[in-house]
Amino acid sequence: MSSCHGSASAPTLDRSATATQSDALRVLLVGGPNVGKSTLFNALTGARQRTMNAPGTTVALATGTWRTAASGVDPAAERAIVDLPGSYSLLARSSDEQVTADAVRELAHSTREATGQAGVVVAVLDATTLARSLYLLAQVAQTGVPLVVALTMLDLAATAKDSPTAGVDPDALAEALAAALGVPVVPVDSRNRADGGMRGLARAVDDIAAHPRRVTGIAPPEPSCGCGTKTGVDGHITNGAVTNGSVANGAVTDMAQDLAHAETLFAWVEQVVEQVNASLARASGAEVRATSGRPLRRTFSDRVDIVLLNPWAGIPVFLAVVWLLFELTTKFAAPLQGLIGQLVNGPLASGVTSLLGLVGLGDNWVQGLLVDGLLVGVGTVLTFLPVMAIMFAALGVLEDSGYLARAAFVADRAMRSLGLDGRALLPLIVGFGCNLPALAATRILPQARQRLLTGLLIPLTSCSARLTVYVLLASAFFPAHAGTVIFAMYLTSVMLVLGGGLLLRRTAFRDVRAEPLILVLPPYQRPRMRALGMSVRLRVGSFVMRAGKIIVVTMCVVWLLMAVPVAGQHTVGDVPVADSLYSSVASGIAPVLAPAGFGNDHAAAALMTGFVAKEVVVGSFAQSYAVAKPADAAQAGSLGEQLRASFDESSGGHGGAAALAFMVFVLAYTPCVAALAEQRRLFGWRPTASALVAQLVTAWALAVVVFQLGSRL
Amino acid sequence: MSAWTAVLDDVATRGGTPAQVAHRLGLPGPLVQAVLDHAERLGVVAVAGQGCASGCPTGPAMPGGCVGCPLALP
Repeated sequence: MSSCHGSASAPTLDRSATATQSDALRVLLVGGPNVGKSTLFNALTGARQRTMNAPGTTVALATGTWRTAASGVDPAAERAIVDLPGSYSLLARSSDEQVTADAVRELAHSTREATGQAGVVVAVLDATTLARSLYLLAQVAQTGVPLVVALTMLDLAATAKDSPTAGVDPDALAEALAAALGVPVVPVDSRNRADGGMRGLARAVDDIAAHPRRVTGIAPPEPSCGCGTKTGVDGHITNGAVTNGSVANGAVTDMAQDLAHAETLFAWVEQVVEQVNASLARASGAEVRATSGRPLRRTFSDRVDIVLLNPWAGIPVFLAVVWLLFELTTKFAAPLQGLIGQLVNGPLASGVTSLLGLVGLGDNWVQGLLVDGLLVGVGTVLTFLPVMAIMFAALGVLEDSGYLARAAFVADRAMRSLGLDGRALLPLIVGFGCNLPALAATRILPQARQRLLTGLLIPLTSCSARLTVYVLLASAFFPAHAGTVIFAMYLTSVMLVLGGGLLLRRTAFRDVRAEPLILVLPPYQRPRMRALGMSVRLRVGSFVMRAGKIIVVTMCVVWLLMAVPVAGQHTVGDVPVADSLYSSVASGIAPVLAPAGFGNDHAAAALMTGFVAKEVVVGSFAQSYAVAKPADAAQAGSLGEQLRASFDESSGGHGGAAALAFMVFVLAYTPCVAALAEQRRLFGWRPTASALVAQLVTAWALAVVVFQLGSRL
Repeated sequence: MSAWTAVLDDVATRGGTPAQVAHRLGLPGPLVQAVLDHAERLGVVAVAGQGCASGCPTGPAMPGGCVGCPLALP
């Protein structure tokens, strides 16, 4: 095992958090959270303690003086004791755990090299969760530091109603454990004012300091490796024994070696557990499973998961949940959207128009820009606030309840069965929120080819910005089944990801090998309403701010394109849309889109602006229809009616099929300029340019197929 | 088969919470939790859906790639 993981900051002697000025024996208390370590520390030091920060960190350490006499005859020997932060492992994941790991390794190094203050680790083991404590103990022992075990929670372990250790004599358990480990094991009860094992612990610490012994089954570290200082090595394992390995500073972790080491580490834990059980059984004459801990009880989550994780039931249930989500979202949001639309297009637009008239800016380009351009575009996007809020709230409930974790698991299993890498699932899930961070998240993948493969698939995940386009078109063309249509778009997105992944894995990416990644599931829980409310508020606020900035800038650019004449005798700012630069460019693109049924200027221009960001598509539609509206606004109808009219016209009466094709095109073509830039940054120009072309061709081909099939049905 | 292999195989093929895995394998819950914790630290295990359920990784679980994303919560 390359055992340097988690030791990002190598421990050094001069930054030791635990060295003391005196020659007193140094004692480090090491154990998991809530094992009674601090209670033991308080019992050992009394008032002789102080708190300090570990050097270079904000992690608080309690240090003190331990004067318990080792025997009735000896005067109280003085020991400098440090209560290290609770840690489950020496593979640190937090600054607290790092401080603990560094302190243990530094002590191991100074003890091994005899370069510093001698010391002993007191490993505090919780008798109720002994297997887990033994795991940490193994890692501490691998450093080669002298250690003594303090066994806590024995009263709980012995008296808990359904505990497997119920009735087991604490001393017998400690003896059995000591025999298996080969180092002193002292039962302690820090709340026992009489002694509680403190004298025994003192004797054991002094004894092990004078006569260091190794934990049985864990071989001593190689003297020359020096690894305890530089890299925080916690050991290699060979032939069932744990040995300290030599690893170069900054060595790259070898996963296969890590897995092999873990295998042996837990084999050692199991071996100790079996030995203890056997000793207790011999002592009591009956089978005892004192140290194994009981298998956890089957919970509500377990019973529900029997259905939800079933391969045949899990996917249909997931699809049903998502369909229901979109149905509810569109149904509940529709009335609110109508209200916002009426407010923006009615009183607000009239108010701004009147105000501009009062200040002498009415009926000119300023009014056109502000009312027909900016206000209409922004107002239309504002109508999607209810959709986003309901969607975020519903997803938040699913997330907080623990259900989405099941969905991720089911999806992960489906991906594996198709030969795709389960590790790529996480960035792909992120992609359904926003493609940009999803692309950046590919860096969690270990291989460059994996990152590229996943990065090429991410644009096919339907980001939340595309949702606004789906909602607009689905509501306009399929008002009775809007939720179902949106659901189908997400399903199409998943199919595109899977299909694209399969195709690439079997062609250009045959060399990519799957890395192991396993998903474990959190238990179900009741959603926390306060956290949910805050999450929705922040996410909707972020969406508005982000979309708002993009929309304002893009709408200004679009309006400018509409204000520049390219035909007829017009002045800038007073141009019919048909004679504008905007229409000219859109007209050039529209014929290419004709086979897909949406070869009209409005759709072509919206797709053009959608290249910048998908949030702009809806605003672009609204703006182009608003500018092109007839003099009598009542004849123009709503945005939905205008969309239906132009799509019907460009598709020969198959507006619904054309709308579906348009949505598929929006799904499959380039997500946005920012995503493109991120792809270029991550993968370079060549793959990005190839992907761009592939996305445009795929989007066009799929849209044509959808329209041609849809218009014939 | 060691507890390490048994637990990871079971989680990979059948899935579930640590409690479910412990129940199915007849292993102590703390041992299963220790195995999964170690595997998570090695990067071979992740908690499904953690932090990115709605595409918006949150809090400490937010990967570095999401820094700056307006949809990701602080």
